[in-house]
Amino acid sequence: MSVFGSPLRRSAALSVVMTAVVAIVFFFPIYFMLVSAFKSEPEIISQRFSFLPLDFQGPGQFQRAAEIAPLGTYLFNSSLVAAINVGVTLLFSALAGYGFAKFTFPGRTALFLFVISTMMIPTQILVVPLFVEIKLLGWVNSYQGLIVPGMMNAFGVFMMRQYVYDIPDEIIEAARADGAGEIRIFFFIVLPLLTPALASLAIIIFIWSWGNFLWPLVAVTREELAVLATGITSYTQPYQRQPMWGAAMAVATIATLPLLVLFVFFQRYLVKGLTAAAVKG
Amino acid sequence: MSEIVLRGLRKSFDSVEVIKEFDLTIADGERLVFVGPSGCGKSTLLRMICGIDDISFGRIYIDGVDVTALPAARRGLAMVFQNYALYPHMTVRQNIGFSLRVAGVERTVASERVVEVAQSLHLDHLLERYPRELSGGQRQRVAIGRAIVRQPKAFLFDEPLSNLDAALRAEMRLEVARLHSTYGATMIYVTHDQTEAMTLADRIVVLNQGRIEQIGTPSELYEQPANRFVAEFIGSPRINIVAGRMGPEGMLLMSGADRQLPVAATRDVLAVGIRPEHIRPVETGGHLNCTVRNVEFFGAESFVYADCNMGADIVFRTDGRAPLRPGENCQLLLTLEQMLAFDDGGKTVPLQAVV
Repeated sequence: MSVFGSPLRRSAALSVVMTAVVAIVFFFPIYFMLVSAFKSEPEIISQRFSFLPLDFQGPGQFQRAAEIAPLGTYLFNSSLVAAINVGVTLLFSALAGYGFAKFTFPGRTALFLFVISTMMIPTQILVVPLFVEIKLLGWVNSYQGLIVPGMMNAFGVFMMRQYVYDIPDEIIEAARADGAGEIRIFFFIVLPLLTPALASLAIIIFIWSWGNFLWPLVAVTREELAVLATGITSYTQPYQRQPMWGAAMAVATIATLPLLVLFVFFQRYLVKGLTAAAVKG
Repeated sequence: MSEIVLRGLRKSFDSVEVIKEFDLTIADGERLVFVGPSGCGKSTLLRMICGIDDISFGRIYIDGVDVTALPAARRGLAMVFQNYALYPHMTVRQNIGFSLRVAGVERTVASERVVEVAQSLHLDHLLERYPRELSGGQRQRVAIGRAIVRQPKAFLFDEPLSNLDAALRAEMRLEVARLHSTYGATMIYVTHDQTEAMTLADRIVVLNQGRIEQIGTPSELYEQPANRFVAEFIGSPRINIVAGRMGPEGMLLMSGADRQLPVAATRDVLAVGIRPEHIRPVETGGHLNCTVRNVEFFGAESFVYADCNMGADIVFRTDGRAPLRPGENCQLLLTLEQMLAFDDGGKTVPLQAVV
């Protein structure tokens, strides 16, 4: 009895093969990064790719990376920026989404469309005007300059609005009849009911913030304010020495780890959140 | 414990007026029921009293205090919603206790009150459950518990039983009545179900298109409806309405009847109404000749549908063992003193027996 006997089995097998191919394509860069972090420099740039390090370096590349640049500072900055961006975006998105979904006020639709339309402007276009703005504010080379532009997110507002729509009005009215004020209703009734949506938005914002390269590159030039994404460039574009691909890969590995951990733990939420927003949108 | 006064209430959504100039005084401790077809404005009215919906015009007074401008939170009323509106992320205990927590009641006092209320509603074994783990009837009990725990000035019920099945509805109806006699607070109850209205009310307000059709005790509405709308709305099976007019000798002519009926009206009439229990089959000397079409047997009684050449069938109530079969001919005698007559505007016209 052949595994590929029936057409049904054949199509199932085909989809498994295709999934595997796609998975390999996506996984390969991560594998490349991981394995390169343990190779020696000549081996990385050699023409022949080896799947396992021929000259295993142990933690050598990691140590080298830490010697050359303030890795701890990069990690701290990335974490700080991501944490503040996630926290503030969640709060503002939920507040704005709640407002748009459950309150009627003059100009609501127009205002919402305006918010949504900002999603259509590519970040690259905004980089220069934003830079001019923070320069006028005196925020170049500061945490404010690094963080504040990322604190609002139109997608977050949109996503939260879709979720708040699903909360029945009666629950909010019941809370009002129970004597709760609007602030309490938001924090004690609306926010807890948004938990799954907030979790997925948190991951989305975290990934976006953690991997953001362009803005930190523009807003900050001082090394003590650099984040991981920009910090890596100090290994690949040094002024006086050879590029250090091994150290760069070691840092990239460190930078990827938090994302991987987050992803594994919250994957369920992420997929649910994204598809729900898509279906409802 | 409080008197609620509504003065000239009006409510418009955009250009549509859903409540038209509404005046009513609800006595302290009264059980008042708003009843009417869907879209008559009864729920809107309740939401306006509660403070959830804005008022376009008019004033609301609770115990003489003008609360029109006060938010729901400060009116001291408790509302029970049709779909329960429990907080899904809170346990039964937290749901019932939420309003006390909001009011800043001391923790131990609050927790005692919650347990007390839960016991009175037979919910004490479910305190740690979440709403999704409860049946419909249990959820409704929690919703009621949430209202009771605050010891409000009045309870507002917005069709609280319409999501329950018939048996549970009957049970919860008794529960609501029991609660009222225990707590004695004013109660305003909205329903489209006339059984709930008749059984729970001290007074019923029949609403239609944002207007009061009639206010009265259940028996007043049933026996002396102010108009055709009320007569048709109250009573099950529905009152029989047939065309009628005043005959040349000043006596009532009813479509399908072979002779004038010895009753007279003070004004011209357009239609005549008679309730199913005021019609009975007789061997001879009846007012109507009919053919039985269908018999619904309920045990103690039967509803008989008969074709009396009047366009619509006439329905009447008989003893459950009455030997009527579909296809049989029968004569029907009308209890003339109980007949109702309506003019061209649908208003009830008084009838008098002609001797």
